[in-house]
Amino acid sequence: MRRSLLALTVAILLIARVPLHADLLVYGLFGDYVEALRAQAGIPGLSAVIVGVDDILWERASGQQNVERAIAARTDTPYQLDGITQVFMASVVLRCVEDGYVTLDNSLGQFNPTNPDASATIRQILTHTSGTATSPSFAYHPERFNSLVDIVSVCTRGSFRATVASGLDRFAMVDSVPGLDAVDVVPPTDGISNQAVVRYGAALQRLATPYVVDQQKHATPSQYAVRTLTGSRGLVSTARDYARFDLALRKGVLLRPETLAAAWRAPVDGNGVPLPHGMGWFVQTYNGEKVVWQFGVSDNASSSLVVTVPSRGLTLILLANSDGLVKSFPLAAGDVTASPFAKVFLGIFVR
Amino acid sequence: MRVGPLVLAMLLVPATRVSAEWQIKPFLGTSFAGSTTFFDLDQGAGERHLAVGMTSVKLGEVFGVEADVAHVPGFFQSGGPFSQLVLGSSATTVTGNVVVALPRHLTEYTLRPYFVGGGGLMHARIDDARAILSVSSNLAAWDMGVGVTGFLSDRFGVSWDVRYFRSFGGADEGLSTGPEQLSFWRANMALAIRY
Repeated sequence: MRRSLLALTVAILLIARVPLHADLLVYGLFGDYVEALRAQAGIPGLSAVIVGVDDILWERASGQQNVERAIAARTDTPYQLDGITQVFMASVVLRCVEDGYVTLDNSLGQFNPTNPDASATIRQILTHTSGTATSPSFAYHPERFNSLVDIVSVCTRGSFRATVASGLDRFAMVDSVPGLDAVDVVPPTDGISNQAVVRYGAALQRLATPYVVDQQKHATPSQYAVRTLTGSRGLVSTARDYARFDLALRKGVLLRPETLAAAWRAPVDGNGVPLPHGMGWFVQTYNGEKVVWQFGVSDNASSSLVVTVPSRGLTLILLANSDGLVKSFPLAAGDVTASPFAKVFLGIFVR
Repeated sequence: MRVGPLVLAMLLVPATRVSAEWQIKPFLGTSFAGSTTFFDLDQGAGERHLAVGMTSVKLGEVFGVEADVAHVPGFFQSGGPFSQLVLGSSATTVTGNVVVALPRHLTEYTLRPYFVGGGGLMHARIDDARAILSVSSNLAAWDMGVGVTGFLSDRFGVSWDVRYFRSFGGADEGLSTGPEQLSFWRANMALAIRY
């Protein structure tokens, strides 16, 4: 009897271990693909995280955040998020819509008649569309998101930076900074505290050095062109911090589920054909499953990619200190599979 | 008096009129200094790999034509840290070339240098572990090179040559960084059979 019980226990333990071992193999394989692609692209440093339903499932950093000083990249290394800043702006604006301060069909001119995009509606800005409501057309111009700061100020009675700074505190994104120039803020400007400024300074000490990479994959230090947070770029964050934001978003802490579902629904053009961009995120299908994603890039400095598969409860976060993650691939056209990194992620986890 | 054209004519005109000869040259060689835009997960393209193939030449006193077929197994594999990602790979070239050789009557008992240049097709194949970034692509290509052939008897000899192959006009099929492109050098030694 005792021997049977022991055999049963061993069998159960073995069975339980098989899926765990298989998961490790899959993540290991994915990590190898990412590392191989990083090497070919000559990206000096790359941080990668896969977030599940409740927590980080896998993380790996490779290469160096500073080549000259041989400082290894880590998953808590801060990078410029560039265009992924739009996701934060979209979340703030959609919250304003939820709270009834504005509607998606308000035009920007209602809040600032001198706005260069005054005739565009909030929905059009968020979806990168123009034209009529029944026949929108898509063109990816992230800088249009900068106009949404007027909406934020109406809704929050503060600046976008103040709203983001508050959000960073709320979600314990301790290594994130609302713009490189946030360390120059004199508290309590934008509601930013002395402690926050000190924290920003500490994070920026570890900011990944940006690099320009030539065809021989030789990396030379460059400069970040953007110092100030705008609606479309400027946020500095880490893969781990973004994971916290992603979890808060998907768990309904930031936005109601129905709001997020609407944001992650592709608009259609006059012929009923889906357009590539929802409200703040690109939206497409892969193997019949919805994929929402966003990317960021600064020429010769940095690049980033975030891919979420809602039905699987998975988000991939990739941050790099050269433009190699994005620049060679036509992501602005709206197909994330143009990126080999995303293609590998989807190929392995959405089969 | 112009000496140059006279010397050139003497070089080009055979001492006795001879018919064109056929040569078959099975060879072994190595590819090296490769470069590609394909997602080369194991970074094998730049490594040296064994090349096998055969060249068939119809060569007159100076000019000739040539068909060259070569296969480089494992072209995109290096045995490096990511070797498990690439299960198999190869690069294959099929080219037709023009041959310009030193006149036969001047090189009857010595090595006979030649220049080749032409074009054809290149086939790149990469099978990755999860078939996510697998490649099977045909590309137009040009090649050029130089070599020497020396005969030890009426029928048998040896030949060495080095050539550069480069694809052109590749499209972006989502399996490369930009348009598909592949180039490499090949150096080989052949057994030359004349008939």
